[in-house]
Amino acid sequence: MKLLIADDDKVSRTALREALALPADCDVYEVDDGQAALDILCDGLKPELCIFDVKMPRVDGVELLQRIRRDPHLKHLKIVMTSAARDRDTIITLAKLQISGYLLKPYDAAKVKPLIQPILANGETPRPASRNP
Amino acid sequence: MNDYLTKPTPLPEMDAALCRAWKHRSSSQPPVQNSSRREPPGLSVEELLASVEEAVTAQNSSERLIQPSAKLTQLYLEEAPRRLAEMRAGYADRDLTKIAHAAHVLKGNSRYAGADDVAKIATEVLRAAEAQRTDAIESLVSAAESAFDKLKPELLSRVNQGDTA
Repeated sequence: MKLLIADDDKVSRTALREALALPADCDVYEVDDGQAALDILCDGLKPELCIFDVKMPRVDGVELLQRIRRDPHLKHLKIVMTSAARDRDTIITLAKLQISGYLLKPYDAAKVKPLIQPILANGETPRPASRNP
Repeated sequence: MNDYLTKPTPLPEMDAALCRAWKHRSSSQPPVQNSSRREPPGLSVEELLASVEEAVTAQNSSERLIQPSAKLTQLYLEEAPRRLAEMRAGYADRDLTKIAHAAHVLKGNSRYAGADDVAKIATEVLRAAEAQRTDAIESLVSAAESAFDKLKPELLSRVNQGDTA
């Protein structure tokens, strides 16, 4: 199993890995920005899940997501976005780009695992209860 | 290398080379299956907003978001002085964006490390930068530096205990 994490904050990347408590056979690839994520994906990495921060240097998370969705060889990737942003505009932009989940920063271990594990285990996107059922 | 073109390259030769490259690509890679290469079904706006709202509530009620390891604490000890220095430099340059970014990262990192006092002051620095209250920033940065220095021995001891555990 392969996981790609793109975030320019090393402490956040480490906190995320610790919160995920991944099994030993899971290969985690960490990169500092969106351009490095694109490079590693174009070099042939096929992760089961990508976790991208919204705010990154060079290519930010939204642009990275847009470029992945435009690419016929990458658009199928499952992507979870992370950010401290809670505003409606950011959420609407991300929802249009078919994301599998959104992790609010700073990470809460109690929220991270229940969101990520079903996606890694069987590709299911956990769906929270809608505010307007 | 898959092909070679001499410069200056006439357009027809360039076209032919691109066709060759495209053919090679098609034959060396499995055909794209529409069913498996489709975009995954994403969450709707409502579902995402609900999950963010839920996460905010949980975050506000959690005292400790994660149990930091010795490795994470060590990383925080290395990164926090860098963020404090960025805030100082941002203040010297009157660069509120730089101050806000450093304060924002320090705030999150401090919560992971359990450095709650530093996190609280970093939040105040962030608010001051966003409100363009430059006058308030210097004393807040000094307070954040003091809070970090005060906590440093405890963090170092946590790292040492973790290393020997």
